[in-house]
Amino acid sequence: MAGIREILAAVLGIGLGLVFVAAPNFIVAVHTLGRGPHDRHGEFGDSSVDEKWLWLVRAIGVVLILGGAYFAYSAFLA
Amino acid sequence: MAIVGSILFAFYAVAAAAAMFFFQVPLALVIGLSILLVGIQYKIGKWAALRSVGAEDMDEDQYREIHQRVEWICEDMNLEKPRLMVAEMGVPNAFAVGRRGAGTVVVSTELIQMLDMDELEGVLAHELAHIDNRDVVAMVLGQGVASVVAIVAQYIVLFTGDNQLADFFLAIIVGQVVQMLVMVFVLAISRYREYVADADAARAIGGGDPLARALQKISDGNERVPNDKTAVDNEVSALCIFGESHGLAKLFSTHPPMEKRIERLRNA
Repeated sequence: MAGIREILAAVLGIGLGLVFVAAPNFIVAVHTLGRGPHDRHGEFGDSSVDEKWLWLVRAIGVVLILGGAYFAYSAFLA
Repeated sequence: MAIVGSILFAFYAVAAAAAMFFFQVPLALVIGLSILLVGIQYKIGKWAALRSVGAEDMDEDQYREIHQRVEWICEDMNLEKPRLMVAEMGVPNAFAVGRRGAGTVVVSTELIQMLDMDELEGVLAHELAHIDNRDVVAMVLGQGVASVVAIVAQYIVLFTGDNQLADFFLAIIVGQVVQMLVMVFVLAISRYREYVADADAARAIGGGDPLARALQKISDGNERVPNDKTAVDNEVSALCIFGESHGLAKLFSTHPPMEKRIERLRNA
């Protein structure tokens, strides 16, 4: 019988991973705003982010989805 | 904004209470550690920002008119003249770090070349307004609250579990989710502060048109760049469900939409 923590790890892991993949700009803003001037990169008046950081966030998102999938497999199928 | 600020304070109060309840940490220590965290973020953020763009002091002889305009604006805002720096950023940009009495404004050489002096004055007034309004400090505080709440949530999940792999994974996930939730409110403050800085800049230089023209010129310049990178970026953006054209993108952005800012400045 799967515990509540395994189920939460699976559901939240996959959910958060999808947010990382779908909205990398938001994730970068969450981690950089207030840790330096948020308008340091890109053009004046623009909150765009360097593509390499967006791809890094997407890659972390994929890792989170895989982690969530592992706990989903452990909880429901193993 | 008072409501959003109160919500952030409530998040912090709940986190502090949770730290006291779950880990028996005294309130003074919670507050002391929070201040230390915010102080370190402020100092490192300022140092890293200037270092990352290779900013150098703006020569008073070479950029005499810029220095003069900044002095006029500072006089109008009753603000101590900040340190002025210049950097080659590869794009037209300017940003402010620090606070009243210890501020720095960095302007890119590309921006100086692109804009005429009135437009540049509008941009400088906007950055000076950020320093005058202590926006940098406000954002550091917002990030500090989000970090403290996330750390407390993460440790509660970790230390109430059985020390299994799922607990470690869940603790990281919960920390991230909580930080995102708090930062949605900080992002709202950030967008609001941009409008306030625009309005203050317009007041200081006697109208919003120069800054509106500067924003328009930068925006138009960006649209005219038909290089491969832009094409790739557009393709990638199209893959995102929170792309530029979607309403959620506005909710998760640090800046308000350019066209709205221009419209407000022209009506100022």
